[in-house]
Amino acid sequence: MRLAVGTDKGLLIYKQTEHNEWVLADIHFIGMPIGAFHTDKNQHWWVAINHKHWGPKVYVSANMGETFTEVSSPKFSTESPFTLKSIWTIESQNIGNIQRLYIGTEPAALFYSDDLGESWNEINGLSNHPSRSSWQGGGKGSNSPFLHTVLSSSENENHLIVGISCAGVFQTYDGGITWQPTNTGLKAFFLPNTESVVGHDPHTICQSKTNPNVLWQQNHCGIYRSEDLGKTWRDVTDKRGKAVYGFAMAIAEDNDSEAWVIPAQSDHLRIPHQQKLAVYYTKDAGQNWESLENGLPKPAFDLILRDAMDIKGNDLVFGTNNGNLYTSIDKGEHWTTISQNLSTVRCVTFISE
Amino acid sequence: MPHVMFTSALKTFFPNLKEEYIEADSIEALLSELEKKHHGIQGYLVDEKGQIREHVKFYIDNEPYDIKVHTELKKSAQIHIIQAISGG
Repeated sequence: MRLAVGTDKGLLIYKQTEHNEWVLADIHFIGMPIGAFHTDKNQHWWVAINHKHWGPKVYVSANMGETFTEVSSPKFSTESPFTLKSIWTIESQNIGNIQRLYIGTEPAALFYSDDLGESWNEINGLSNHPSRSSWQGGGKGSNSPFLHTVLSSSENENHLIVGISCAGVFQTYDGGITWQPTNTGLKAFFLPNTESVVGHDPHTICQSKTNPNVLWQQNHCGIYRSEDLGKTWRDVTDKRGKAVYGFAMAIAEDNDSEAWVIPAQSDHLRIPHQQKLAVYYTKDAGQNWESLENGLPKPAFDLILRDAMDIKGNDLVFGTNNGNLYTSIDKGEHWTTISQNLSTVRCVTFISE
Repeated sequence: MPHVMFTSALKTFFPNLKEEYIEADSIEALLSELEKKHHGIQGYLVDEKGQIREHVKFYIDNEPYDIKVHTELKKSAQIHIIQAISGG
């Protein structure tokens, strides 16, 4: 298995040895800020670079990183009030013989390509949603909302789920023509109306592989779980107040009741509780949360960003804003340090070989 | 003919880029000619609305480019295309 680590200064590729150690094998795009990484079903790697000077760019590799080719980047139309600021996520969906690619951007929009990135189409039904004027900037220092999560369905190619900060979860069942906000049950404590239909901040959303009706989300205001494909959300935040605020989340591939989060003490501090880095785990759909911290440091001042945790079987990995990278081979019971000298880690992805 | 020079950082993406003389009477025309010679470079210098990117700077005869002032490029113009310090 390989591990792709997207940082603010390049894309690092690690290989797992037979002794379960991770060895640095390659560095691509050295010095460049990685915005997103995705592997499609053909084992092609898709990489977004959010250049500070030159604008967002998209690359693909058909040979596991031996070479990369730049493809086109999404563009807002001349009629649009927006210009592309950054790329937050890349996803793919197989529709018959076509592989459709999706890119989520800031300002918040969803683009798709049916020609492997040669051209991109903006899904205007979402960009022009009637609630658009109420969407807010979602990141620290961000003055425009951004689309960071795309979930596609294998059952219904016209069904998509997206997460936008700060607007919430939206779904389409007609291939993007119409979108419905699906935020019932979420709380937005930063709004006057905490149960607003739109305006939520779903930091990340995960969908169960075994039971696609089950969605989880690490939200700005807690942890939520849905058993009806997002129509309603149930608050499963840690009652002891530990696993509440955070960005990253992973759920078990084979059990829709198991999840891992890495909380911060609070929104305004954004460091671990009592400066002890800890992963929190539930095996009962969020009724109880326990901390897994064996091998993780104290003091620590790390925040784990939304795409910086991944799971494959019993293997877990996460990277931090301070450039630390940790892995576990036993679902988080024990953690091992891979590196403590990276740049900010934006995304991590296990790659099967 | 205007003489155009580039930050070496752009050679990461366009290895064949080097200073050259290009027939152009405006920055817009210059960008168009550059795109013909170095496919894709326009997208590195301007956004999809045609505006020079926030952290890219054009200098004409050592003065920052101002679209209101530099409506026409002189034949003797020296143009530097630089990555702005503001971009980090």
